[in-house]
Amino acid sequence: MYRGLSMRREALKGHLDMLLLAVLQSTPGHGYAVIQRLAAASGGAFDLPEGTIYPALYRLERRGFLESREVEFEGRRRRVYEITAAGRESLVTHVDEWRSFSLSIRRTLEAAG
Amino acid sequence: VNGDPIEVCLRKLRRRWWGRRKRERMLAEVEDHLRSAAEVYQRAGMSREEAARVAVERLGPVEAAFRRRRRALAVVCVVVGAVGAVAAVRVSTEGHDQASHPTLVAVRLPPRQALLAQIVSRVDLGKGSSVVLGAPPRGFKGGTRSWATVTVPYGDQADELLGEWKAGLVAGTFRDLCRLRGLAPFRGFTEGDGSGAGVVGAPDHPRITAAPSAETIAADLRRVGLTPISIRLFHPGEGTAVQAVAEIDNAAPFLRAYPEPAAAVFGDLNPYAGTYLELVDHHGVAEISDYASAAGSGSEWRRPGLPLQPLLALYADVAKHR
Repeated sequence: MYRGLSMRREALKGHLDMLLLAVLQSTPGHGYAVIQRLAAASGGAFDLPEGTIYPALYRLERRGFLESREVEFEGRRRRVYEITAAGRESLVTHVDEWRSFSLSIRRTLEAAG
Repeated sequence: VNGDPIEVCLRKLRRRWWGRRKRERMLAEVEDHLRSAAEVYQRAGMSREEAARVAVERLGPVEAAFRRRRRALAVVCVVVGAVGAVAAVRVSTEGHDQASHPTLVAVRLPPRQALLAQIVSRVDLGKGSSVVLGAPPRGFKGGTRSWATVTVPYGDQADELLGEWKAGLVAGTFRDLCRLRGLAPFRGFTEGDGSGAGVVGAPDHPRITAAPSAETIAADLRRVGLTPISIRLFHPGEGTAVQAVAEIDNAAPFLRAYPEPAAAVFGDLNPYAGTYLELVDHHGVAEISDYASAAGSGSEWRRPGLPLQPLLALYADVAKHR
């Protein structure tokens, strides 16, 4: 159980940027909302320490793939992230690469099995 | 001490995170995250306190996550203006290339600049460091002359804070020695994150205060279940913060039990402000008081690799000739 979870975390780290862009592609969202969307979309399979997504969000923003703005929410400051055109392009590229990679793995496993 | 886990977490981050602009953004974001999460857990049936605690736990080591992403470069900026001196510790997170800056050569300088040059000459800032006199760094508001920028590169891992400590050492020593020499009052220093916006003109440093007695420190340690073996008080020189080193048996259970150990022992509003205090066990330094960074150069000297003796000699020299 522990090893499975650990491996899943490691695998997730390599694709976190793509997943963050994916969950933001239709609707802007703040950090915690992004985490909830990730959890919901994966059926709870992705279990990273929640704080680890913020450096990734900052990095995507620095690269121009996300934009953020601060809004007031119930008396506190909330930062909302939105995907940019460059982010959408990057997401398309990532998804194509992932599908191609995933297909290759599946074919290999099926051929080996 | 407020025991709300969210408040404790935010206070810890606020005190340990260097780089004001990025810190404020990060703190606002972390607070929104924790309160949003806690609200979700409360709606699911947890008590308020339990929800806050779980929210903090699930956040994970956010500080470490941010630090791992950082490209480390520490810079001290010192303003010497007509109305006094202001120094700013500036921490770049963007890895601006400062390597082309020339090394400081101080000749025929006004007193404050000469003093700064003396300090810099005694601090081994390391390979790749530089000092530039002239215009302020990009983004810093203020005059366009009489600035010194000390650049101190450092590594990503265990020594990642050493550059910042050295930067603080230069700024704190400059503040102390300006006072000793009777030069214009030093208005304080602060940190930035490389953006430079709005970091100059920080509030004054807290006043350096008399250290609590060894008996008081021992009593405070016992109050939180620690057994003091020895307590040493050390005053490096006039105008510097007192350093207290408390040797204890085993810090591990205490560090596990308290999310914010220094505050657990010494409180938020306490007689230790202006005193640098270390807890040491058989593994080495276990905890330092967070108030040290506000206490000037005396607070920086015990950090690993920092040049105590050359600066002590400078303090003595300045005191002798003032």
